[in-house]
Order: sequence, then structure tokens, then C-alpha cells
Amino acid sequence: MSRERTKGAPATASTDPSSNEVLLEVQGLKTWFHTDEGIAKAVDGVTYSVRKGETLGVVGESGCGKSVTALSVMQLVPRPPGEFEGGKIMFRGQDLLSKSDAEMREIRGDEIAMIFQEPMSALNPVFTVGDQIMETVMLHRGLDKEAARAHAVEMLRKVGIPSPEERVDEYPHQLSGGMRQRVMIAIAMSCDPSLLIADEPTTALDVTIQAQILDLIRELQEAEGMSMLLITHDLAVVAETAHHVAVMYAGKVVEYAPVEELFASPRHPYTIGLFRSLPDLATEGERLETIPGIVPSAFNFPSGCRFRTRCSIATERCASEEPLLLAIVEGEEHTAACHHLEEAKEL
Amino acid sequence: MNTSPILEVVDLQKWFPIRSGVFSRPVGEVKAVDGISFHVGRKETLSIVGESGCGKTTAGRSLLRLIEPTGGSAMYRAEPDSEPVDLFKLSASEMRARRDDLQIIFQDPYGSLNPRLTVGNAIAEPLAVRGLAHGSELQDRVEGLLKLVGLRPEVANRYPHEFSGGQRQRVGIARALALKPKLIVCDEAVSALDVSIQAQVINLLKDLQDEFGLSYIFIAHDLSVVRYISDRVAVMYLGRLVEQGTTEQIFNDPKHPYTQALLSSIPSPDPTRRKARVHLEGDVPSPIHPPSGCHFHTRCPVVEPRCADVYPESIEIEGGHCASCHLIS
Repeated sequence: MSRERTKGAPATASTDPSSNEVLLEVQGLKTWFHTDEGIAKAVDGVTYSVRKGETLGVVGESGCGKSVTALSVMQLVPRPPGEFEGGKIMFRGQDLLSKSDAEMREIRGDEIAMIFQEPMSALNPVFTVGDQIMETVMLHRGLDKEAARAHAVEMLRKVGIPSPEERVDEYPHQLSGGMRQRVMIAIAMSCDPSLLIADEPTTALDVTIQAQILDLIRELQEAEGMSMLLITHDLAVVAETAHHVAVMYAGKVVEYAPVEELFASPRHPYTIGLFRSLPDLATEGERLETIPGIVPSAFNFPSGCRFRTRCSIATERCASEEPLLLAIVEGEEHTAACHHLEEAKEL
Repeated sequence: MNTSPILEVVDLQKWFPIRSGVFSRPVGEVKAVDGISFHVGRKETLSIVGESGCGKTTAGRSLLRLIEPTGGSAMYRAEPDSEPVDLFKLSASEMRARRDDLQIIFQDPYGSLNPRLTVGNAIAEPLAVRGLAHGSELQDRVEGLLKLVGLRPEVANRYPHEFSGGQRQRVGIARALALKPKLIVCDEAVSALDVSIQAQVINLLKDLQDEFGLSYIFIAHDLSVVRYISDRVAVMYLGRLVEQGTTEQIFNDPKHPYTQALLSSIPSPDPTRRKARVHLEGDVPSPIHPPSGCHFHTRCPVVEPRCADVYPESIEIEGGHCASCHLIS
């Protein structure tokens, strides 16, 4: 449990427009699920931070714990079977894990808002979209009905929904997938949150609609100066949207860096393998490189480094000793959890 | 590239009736696929791309007559010198026999495998139904197929739920390969898989193509996968083909404004190249009431008045590169 994140030195040559002030800091978080089959260590010592006004992209494959970490921040993890087994979630200097349910309700939807992958199942089908935006602002901002409705129309306009005065009275099923995701964003943005958590916000959308929504999210973020935690499996979405990236594997962060640096020189063998398996970057006619094997089960992670079972440069040390997430060059932001960073360069 | 394509599709149509009222009378139809023509060369991969609801999946399934096409023809030649047969004119039993050659791999390998059959039995089923192998020979064939797709033969006694998504997709591929097909429709076959697993399955599909001389119709929405795997690409929008050509022609020199917008929407995995996009306004219109004239005119950035009146005929630009747009001539 002595996992202290190596703090980056004052801003290096980053394109990050924001200050270095940290808004959210997840420290050694462990969220485990106690099930009949045993304990699933979905999140097992995750550390990352989101700065003011920046987007942190969290990438990883199914089951790496990226979504559970986000749900833990919102405390939307069902308990039981979920349990916080350790760590802290510091938001504006306060530990969210020590908050009562009532205090969390104050924060959720107001200070921290969230959008989900599937807008149809996240929206309530029996209320109009206007009602669903009004609910949030009436609860958190104490607006009366009339003011809340005006606010709802304003929010729909802001997220680019045409003729918002009419759309405000429509039900979710009357809208297309892209429009529904815009409504989700309108609800999330309605109380002017300082942190937006977006969990696979464009995964269910077609590519032309995805492009619209990504642009919208980026514009809103720049205009409002809000911070964003973007969770996705799609490295291209991260490349287009994030300032910093955390790569997760088997319940842990294995690499963290500014986005340009991560894409230019990934250092962890898993990140390197992930990039190589992208068909985008492959030369035509060449075989895709793959990561052999499959992601280990959360019920039974390998000892030591969890990637060692699929890693081509693993040694005995990887099985016996867990690598810590440490700065690659002392004082710089780029961190990776690997015993063999020098050898990984040769991959 | 080949004088006798394995499959030549002309004017494929699939209309679904819209029924309404107490007696479920047809009150109209959805023209899910509305007259598309293309061919698939031998040992070639043709990709059909497009957004949800464009009809690409319906097209793939109508070809194999998993749903009955409304019109058109699909001339199939098993061998370069054999007589072509129109798949759409075959009787049910003739079609059943023909299915040995024509197989499909689905997106969701879990949904397409029977949860109560061991994967060994699932793979053996087509062989047993066709009476091609029995007893220990059947077992050998199943083991051979499992090895072929990179699974250990011992897993034959396991059930689908014991496998990961990528492994299940391998089982689906083994099953499709059991009857030694010549043409496989891959309907979003790698879409549900994680990147590292997706790469494994794509490599497997390519290896099998090389080894057995398979032809693929690859139906997908992920354009980076399509670019990597295809020889030729056909782009669909609202039931019609708007452009087709070689992968190079489509990706390096797209002619149709929809293809251009589609390609420009792909996020690039390179943070130093955050690009300016050709923006498409709005959503794909409903196929129940497609726009008049060119279906794309409601979202087209270079629309002209005539686009709303007349559907543009497909024009060949060069070497098999065709597009349907009034602005090309």
C-alpha cells in the first residue's frame, strides 16, 4: 500500500492550456467485488489525477477496471457486492470516500457529472428531455419551474439541438442516438460541473455522429474550462481529445504521460503492444502484431507484474516483484510500471 | 483482377413490408437494400461499409438467403470455369446444398452459439448434418478445425460460456470453415472484440484466406479495419451503393461527398494531427421515408438543386472506381 504517485515537476513543454492545479486525485484506489465465485479485484491500486481544465483519457481493454474506477469516483458502485478496500479519492482537497450518501448526492450532478455510453438506457423513457434537465437544476440550483425550463432550452441550444423550444417537450424515443447523447451532455452540463466523467461517450454512435459529439465535448470543455475524465477503449478518440493519458491493465495504471509523448514513445510493453495491434498504423500487406493470450481474470491476477503472462520480455523478477508506477526520467511526467523499460525500448 | 468473379450481384433489393392496423395490412415498405450491384473476385476481400441502418447487414444476409431477397440476381461460380448459378433462383434444397460453399460469421459469437452445445458439438453439427463425417473421423475433423483457428483440441468438451469473446469468435470461424466454404460473409466479425484480440482474429482471417483461397465479404463500420483487410470497398448509404473501388481508390481518392465525410470523421490515432473535419450535419434519415433524388442530398455539403429531383446514376471514373453523384462527370 505504499504506492505514492511520483508527482510531475512543474509543467514541462506540455500543450496543456491549464494550470497544474489538481482537481481530482485518485490514490491507490481498490474497489473489489465480493461474489460467490470469489473476490474480483476490478480496481486494485489505481492512481491518477485530473488537473483543472484538462482532459485525462483513461484507456484499456474490457475488464481492465477503467469504468469501475470512474463509477467509484461517483460512488455509483453497487455495495454490496462492491467494496472500497483502500485508497482515497481526493476532490478539491476532500476525500469523497469519507462523504455520507447525502453529501455525495449534493456533489453528483452538480460538481461532478457523468455521461454514459448508451444514452437510451441512461435516460428515463417516461419523462420529456426537458423534465430531465429541469430536475437537475431544480434540485441543485433551486430554480423554480419556469426558470428551470428556460435553462433547459438554453442547455439544449448549447449542445446543438435544432429548435430546442420544441425538442424540450419530446421524449427520448423521439430522438436519434446522436441527439440523445447531446441530451445526456445537456443534463450533465446543466449545473456547470467542474468535472465531467465521460464513460465511452461515443462508442455506441456511428462515426459521423461520433465526430460531431467529440467536437461538441471539446468545444464545451474549452468554453467552460471544465475538467474531464474520458474513459474509452479507442486510442484514436483519446488522441483527438485528451491532454494526458493513463493506460490501464488488469486493475492498475501501467503507464501515464502527456498525450503526444505517449503516442510518440510508449514505454510499457503493454502500451507498445496495444499500438502495434491498431490496424490504422499498420503498413498495408503487413501482418498485424498482436499481444498473445487474453486478459487475465480479475478473480485471479498473476503475481508480480500482471502483464508478465503476455509479455515477451518478462523475467523471474516480474513474477516475484510488482513493478511500481515510477517516473521514467526523474522529475518528468511520463511514468510507467515495468522492471524492464530499457529492454522494452528494443521491442 | 479476375475475369470470372466468384460472385456477381446485380440490382439486389430487399424491401421489408410495414404492417399496420388490426389485420396487419402492408401500408408501405422499407427499402433496406434498394438495388445494389457489385462483384467479389476470387480470393478477394470486398468490404461493405456504412453507418447503422444503411442496409449493409441486410445485404449480406440476403445474399445467403438467410432472409429472402425481393429482387435482383446473384451469379455464383464455384470454380472459374464452372457454369454460373443464380443463388436467388435456387430451390430451398438446392440452396441448402450450396451453403457448403457459402458461410457467415456473425458479430456476436455468444449470440450465435448454442449455449447448451459444447463447442465440439457445435463445430461437428454442420459436418454431421451433411453426412460428411462420422464417429472418430468426425472427432478428428473437429480437432483439426480447432487447431486451425488456434484453439487447443481439448476445449471441444467445453461450453461457449467458458470462453472469452475472442475465443468464441474463433469457434464461430471454425464452425464456418467446417464445410470448406469458398465464400464467407463476415458480418461485423471483429467489431465486438478488444483491440489486441481484434488483431489476432484479423490475422487469423487473413491466414485462412491465404491457405484456403477464401473470398470474403466483410461487412463493417470500422474503417481502419476495413482499410487494412480489404482489396476493394463498397460504401452504402440508405440502401444504395454510393461509391465502390479498390481500397486505394476509396481511401486515397474518394469521389463521393459521403465517402469523403465518412473518411474525414475517423478519429486519427495521432495527437499531433488533430484534423479539421468535413462536417456532416444531422443524422441519417429514416429509410422508411428516404429523401427524394440523391438520398444524401439532405446532408451533403455540396448539394445542388437537381440533387433533390434525380437519383444520380453510378458513373465509372476509372478502373472499376464508381460513384453515384451528379457532381462527377
